[in-house]
Amino acid sequence: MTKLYRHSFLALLILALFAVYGCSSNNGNGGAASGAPASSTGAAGSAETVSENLATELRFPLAQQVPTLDPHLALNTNVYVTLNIFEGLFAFDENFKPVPMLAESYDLSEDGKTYTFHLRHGVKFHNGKEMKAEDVVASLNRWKSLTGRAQASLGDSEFTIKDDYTVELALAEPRNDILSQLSHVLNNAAILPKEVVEAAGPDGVTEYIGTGPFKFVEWKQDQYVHLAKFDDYQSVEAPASGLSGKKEAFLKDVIFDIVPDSATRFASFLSGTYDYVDVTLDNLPQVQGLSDVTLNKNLGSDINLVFNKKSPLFSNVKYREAVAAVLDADEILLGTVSSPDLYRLNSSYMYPENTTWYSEAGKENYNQKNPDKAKQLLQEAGYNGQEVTLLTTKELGGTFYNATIVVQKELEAIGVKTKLDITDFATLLKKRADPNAWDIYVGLFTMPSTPSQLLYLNPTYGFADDAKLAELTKALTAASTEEEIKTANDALQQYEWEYLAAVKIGDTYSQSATRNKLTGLVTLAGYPNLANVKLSK
Amino acid sequence: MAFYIARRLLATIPVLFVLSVIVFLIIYLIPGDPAAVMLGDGASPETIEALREQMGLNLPLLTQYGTWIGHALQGDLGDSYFMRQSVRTALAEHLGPTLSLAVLAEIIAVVIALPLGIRAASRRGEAADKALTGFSLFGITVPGFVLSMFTVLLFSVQLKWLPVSGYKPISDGLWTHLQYLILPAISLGVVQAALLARVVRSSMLDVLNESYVKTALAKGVGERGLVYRHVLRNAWLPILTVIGGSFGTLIAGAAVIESIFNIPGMGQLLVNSVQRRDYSVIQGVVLFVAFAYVLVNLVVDLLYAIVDPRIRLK
Repeated sequence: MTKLYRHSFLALLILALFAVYGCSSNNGNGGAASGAPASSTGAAGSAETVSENLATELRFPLAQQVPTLDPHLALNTNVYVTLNIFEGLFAFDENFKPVPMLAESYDLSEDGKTYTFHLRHGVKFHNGKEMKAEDVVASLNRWKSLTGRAQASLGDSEFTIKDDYTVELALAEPRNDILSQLSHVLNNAAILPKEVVEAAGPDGVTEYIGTGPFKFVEWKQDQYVHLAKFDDYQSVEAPASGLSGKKEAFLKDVIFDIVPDSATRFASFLSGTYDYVDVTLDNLPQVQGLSDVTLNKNLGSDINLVFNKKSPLFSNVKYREAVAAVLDADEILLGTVSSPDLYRLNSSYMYPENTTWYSEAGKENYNQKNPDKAKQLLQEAGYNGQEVTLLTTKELGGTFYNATIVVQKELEAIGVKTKLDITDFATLLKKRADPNAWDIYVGLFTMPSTPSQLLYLNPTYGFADDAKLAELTKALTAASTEEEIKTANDALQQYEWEYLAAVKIGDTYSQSATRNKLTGLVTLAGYPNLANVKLSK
Repeated sequence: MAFYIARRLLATIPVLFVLSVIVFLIIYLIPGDPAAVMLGDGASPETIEALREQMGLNLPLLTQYGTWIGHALQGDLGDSYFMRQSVRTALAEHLGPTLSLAVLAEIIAVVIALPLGIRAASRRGEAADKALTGFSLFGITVPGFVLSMFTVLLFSVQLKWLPVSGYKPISDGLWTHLQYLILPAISLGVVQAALLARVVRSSMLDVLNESYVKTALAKGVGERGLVYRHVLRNAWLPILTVIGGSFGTLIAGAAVIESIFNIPGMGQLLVNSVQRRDYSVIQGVVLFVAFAYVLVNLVVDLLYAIVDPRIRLK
């Protein structure tokens, strides 16, 4: 009796496990059609004049916490939300070309040093105030003082008011990346009302008033951010492309739920709470079979290995060359994204899609996969078994960590002694700023729109300190015609492959899944633009 | 009675004080700083420094602690850097979900464990007893989050009876409030039940071996009367202790479960604050949890006195 009991209990347990496993795969079809995702808010019928059957509320999952909603602070982490609330003078279209948004047009002086921006008339802020030059000047000067990239570009120049709808920027030298700096979401050169800017303390603005198609309603820290349609939104007429052009809010409410756990996000997508979710390789099989879901592949970050150019070893270019020689880009990329479909080799510091700034210069130095050459260089440099510290974190999805351990393995294979320093993200930020704390940092970087915005060419990131590099970077930003840009860009990239502030490894893709009833979602550099999004019932 | 309570509460103050010093030292000695986290990756060192000044992070440790304890004694636990509210408000807001979750989980645990344990003890060696052993093993070995994944897969994704994650406060309606808490409460409650069931069983068995039980049986007391009036009442003490302990653990915030189900409770608050280095909140949460434990233990001791008239509170 006892034995039978034990066995039957075990059998029951196994049966239960099978039941759950068996039911879970490829069986979402029946469920997906039922139940609208919208739950609590608002009237059943859409108040839009559009006759289609549209839902009025969209819940969008965010994978990371939002430390602040101030657009000029904590760049990258809050852009998902802020790009729907705020706008800048320009915005990028799908080819990363700056297109006027809040600016109507601009003029550039003959010597390339003075920009004159003509503002659109009648653009309303969410608080009803009309946007004028005083707001633009206050916002952009604040933006400049808070953003490292902006300071690098603009130096001491300030934005000044010429008249109610005209703003001027007088630079010390000509720079061709100003419009890109003002457009890229990475920099978030958002325009806020002057009063809001002036009332802000060092920890940020207290009101989130912008000009975008959605306005801020509520932010429950660590839980959700609630935006609502801004009825007085003034759209530009140009066709929508990337983050620029016509924006029309079909949704009345957008709720960004903060869901850091990826399994929870995915389960919520399957159950119908969300119609968009990021997909990892483990989850992929579960969405591939679904008939009402489209899989999207989005170009994401690129991977670079950054050297601490102040460290005892890597201040010597020979050691940097040795590392560049041994790196096997395919191995590192595959180790990071786990699938050959999710990466591509790219020797340039820019994406090929960015036609103005892409260059093939120096590609003979890319992906050398040459351990013998590396050993030779180590010997020439006089390597004596010194330990190399690789700084990384397991947070941020584990991708930094994966890339780092593949690099570690490749270094160890040629006899380099290595040590992994794994910390949490907050500590990593601190350590990276300390020249005595690390040698190599392998990271994923959101792609900026011009090489001048690349963080690792900048002294604050990896402590690049080279006169020729600085000179070539400056020459690049001063170039004005397309030909001049191409020549200067090739020269800079060629030199970078010799100086090796960092070693480019490759580009990665991420995947996302969208229910077919969600249309009009456009992403640029991975950031979703929710204007023009329609969600059918 | 009131005297006893007051004395017990007063006795916790030195404990809290020592705890605050220890926590203060630990969190300040950890590298990483809230200003850098708040301002993000591309911020210039000057901006970070300015924020640090404003936050008072560059003052000597003793000054910072002194300021904090001075305010704390007046009931002001400081302000959160990231949440734009006072620590007291943050604690109050996050307490609700955790309390609801803890109460629901504890109810589930008791509802499963008590009948199972009683049955297993009174029918020792038979089916119920074996079921309890199996169940205990299951509950203790299977981690809460694995259980939560199974339940989510079944009830939320397949059957769509319950939401996957999130939280709605009780002001939105009792059922709305409960439906978000059922799955996490099951994940927590089953694990607690496993532990509790064994304690109920062993405690009952201990009493069943007493001579007065034999006397009662000889007197002709029926089984039901025996179990509930004689055995269970005497078995309460260890059971109460374990219930108290488990409730204390639940109040401390089941951080993993709260993270999975996105419940804005104490556990999630603590984890987020540590990640961001939100020092005042970390201090506040740790102190609050310590205080909660003390309170729960106090309640258990009071219940002892109620359940067992032989116990005199000193």
